[in-house]
Amino acid sequence: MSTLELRPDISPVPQVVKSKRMPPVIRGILWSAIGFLVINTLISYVLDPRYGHPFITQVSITFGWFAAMVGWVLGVGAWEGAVLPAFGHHGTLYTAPGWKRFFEYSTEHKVIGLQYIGSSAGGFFIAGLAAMLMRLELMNNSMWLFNYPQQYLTTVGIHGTIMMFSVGTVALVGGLGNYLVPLMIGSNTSAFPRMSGISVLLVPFGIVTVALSPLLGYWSTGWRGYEPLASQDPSGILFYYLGVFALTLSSLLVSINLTATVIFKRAPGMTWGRLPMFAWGITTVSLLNIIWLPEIQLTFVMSLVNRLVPLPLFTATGSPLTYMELFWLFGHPEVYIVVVPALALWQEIIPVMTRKPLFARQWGVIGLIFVMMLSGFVWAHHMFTNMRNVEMMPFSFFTEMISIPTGFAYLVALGTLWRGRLKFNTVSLLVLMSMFNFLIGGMTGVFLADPIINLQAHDTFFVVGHFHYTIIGGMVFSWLAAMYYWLPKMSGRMYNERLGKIGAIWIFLAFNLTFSQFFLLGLHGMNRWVSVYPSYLQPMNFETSIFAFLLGLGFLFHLVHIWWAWRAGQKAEGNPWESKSVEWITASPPAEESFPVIPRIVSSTYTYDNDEPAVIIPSDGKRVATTS
Amino acid sequence: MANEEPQEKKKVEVDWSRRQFLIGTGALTVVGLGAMFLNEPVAAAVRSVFGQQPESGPITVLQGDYFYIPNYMTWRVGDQISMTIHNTSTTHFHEMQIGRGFNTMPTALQTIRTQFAEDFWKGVPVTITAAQGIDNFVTNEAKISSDVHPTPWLLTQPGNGGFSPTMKPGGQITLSFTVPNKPGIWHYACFVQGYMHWLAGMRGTINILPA
Repeated sequence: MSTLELRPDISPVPQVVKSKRMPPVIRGILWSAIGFLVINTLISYVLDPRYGHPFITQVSITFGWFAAMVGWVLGVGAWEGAVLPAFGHHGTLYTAPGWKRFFEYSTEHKVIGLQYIGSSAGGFFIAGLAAMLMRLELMNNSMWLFNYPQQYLTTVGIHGTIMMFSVGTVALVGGLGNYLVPLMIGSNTSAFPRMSGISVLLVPFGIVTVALSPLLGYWSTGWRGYEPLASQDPSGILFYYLGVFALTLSSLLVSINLTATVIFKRAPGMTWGRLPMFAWGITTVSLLNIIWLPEIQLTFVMSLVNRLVPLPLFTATGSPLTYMELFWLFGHPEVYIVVVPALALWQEIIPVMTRKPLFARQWGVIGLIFVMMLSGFVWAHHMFTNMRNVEMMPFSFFTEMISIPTGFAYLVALGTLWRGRLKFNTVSLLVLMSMFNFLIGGMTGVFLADPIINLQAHDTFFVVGHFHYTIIGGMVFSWLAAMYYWLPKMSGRMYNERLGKIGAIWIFLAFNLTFSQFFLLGLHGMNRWVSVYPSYLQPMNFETSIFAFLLGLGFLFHLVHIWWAWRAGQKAEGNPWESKSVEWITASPPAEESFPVIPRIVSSTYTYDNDEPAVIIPSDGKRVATTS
Repeated sequence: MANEEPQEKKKVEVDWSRRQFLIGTGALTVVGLGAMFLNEPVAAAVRSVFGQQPESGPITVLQGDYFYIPNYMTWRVGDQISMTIHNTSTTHFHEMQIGRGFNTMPTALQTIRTQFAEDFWKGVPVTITAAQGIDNFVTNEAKISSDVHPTPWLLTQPGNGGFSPTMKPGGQITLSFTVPNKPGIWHYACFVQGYMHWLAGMRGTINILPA
């Protein structure tokens, strides 16, 4: 049992100066507005004036947006925190007490992690609202909620874009990764804390950009930005490119930071063979990000320039296919960027809950790495309708192959569960639900990998059901499990077990009743990307929508429950799950300096078959400075 | 190291105002939501409270994908107007028809609206005072005269549909006319690309006040 726990030193409380400064977020918005006005005006009135002197042109808003982004990042605190020090100016870095730390620039990985989680949750509920509007519109087979078809398509696009780039890619990597990886490997900081402090600020900026895209005109491409449709779309597509640029840049910086952290910041004894599964998951996913995010950013920059100059990219015969290839080269690894950390979370949580050593750990790691590698070989299965038969076969083959390393994750989880005495609580319930949902998502994926079925089900709700099973079912359920599991660590408080279980069962039923019907709708002929559909599909769509609303309410229920537990839940013990993992030897919540003495890892942290601690605090360990 | 926290930097706790933070972000949220969902009701409310002065003299109508700026105008019978219609889209042709009621065409899926049934410009003397980047200009039953060389895009023969100047991307045209004695509510719209622009919201309203 690792009953060891470090309490932070009782250091003198810093004196809170009563003099006020402008709230950093407000200053960021102000600087952002100034940056936008100056650059936008310069371009639209001086450098590139257009007939009739419109204040906003496509060119001016693009450059104005970049100025606004810089203004926002500097205004929130990067000016004092990163720019001035880079020029050798050692000013004073102000911090605010309490919850206000989360609303300003910070270099502390735990604050940044929670900022990422908060931003992701914000994106989740904004995009969730968009989903509710879509389901409301689809309750009737005519246009009754939206005035124009483009409004529906824009809503679909905003939903997909924000969910993929600010939730799927971000919540587990930028959020839990930033919070947990340094703690799990026994480090007080991440490798590049200032870069990390800046990168998190890009997430809310990107979300707001995409959410406000209709102000520039409705766009109809969805999160894929297909050409040449995008080049013909109204200007709202600009905010899609720009918002996604901010969000992907953020994820890229996270990945560089966390990869370096895992390589260089491990505590003594934390060998690669002992690296926790979640840290492995974050490492593999970060490598995927580092490979594929620059690729998609370049593609979007090409599309943006294509529009602004304008250039004839992607419009010549055959070129639209080039765009699709470029998009899905990133687009399919993206799916694994979303899901691999979730697989790692199962393997992190199940040994603790079953009190058994992790089964076949090496195969788990191999699975994660092979998923990462194979994910680059499957992209064209999104384009079977645009290919010759002979070209489909290798992609069909690799797509079916990738279920093998994914299966390793299942075997590791099942082997650990086998004959274990599972603690049946909200956390393990959500993990089991996630495994069930992802299994459905994966099995329907095997069907879709088969060209014969794919060509029939292509662009129907069958596909929509499939990927929602993998992403909500796999990733969002695991995210919730992780939030409950590490809630005592993050807040020092415990959730209510009964409410947690009610919430878990609620979303499990609502989720399955919604998305299993998507499969049936798809097989009956319900197309994606349409707000008006044949009337025989209306009754099923109507009741599917009702379950979708229940699902939305279920997620709100969890939000309120976690919020309440965070503030008013019962005080938790230091290590309520009796985990051997390194993060639990810190105080809950950890002090700014998580480890006053850097711990030493002496065995695997999954050895639940003995009572020897996996982590010791060296008695001769030197005290480390906060900012080493 | 660039990313190491410099040792000599002091962290000082200086509080900031929660009230400013909440009011500032709350107000911006309200503005954002209003701009997204309530722009039409807000514009209508502002119009009804403050009224709208009739426009006259040189006025500009900008065309975008797929909207007009402005999408509401007030004219008065007998006023002299010089209206410049400018297509700001970089990719799409746009027109501007003014009229009431719709001509329709049944299709397999739905009945679609092809153009206005009643043409506002019928019998109205109009002078083209400037033109550039015009694809075609159907004059229908307007009494057209031109200060610029209008060929080959000017189509004066009947049977080409309602009065509609169609601009290429970036094109513009200036029409000078006296508002005819046809008071009431009129609509303007773009029906190009298989009438999809109208469907996508490229519409506006003109309230013509009696003299």
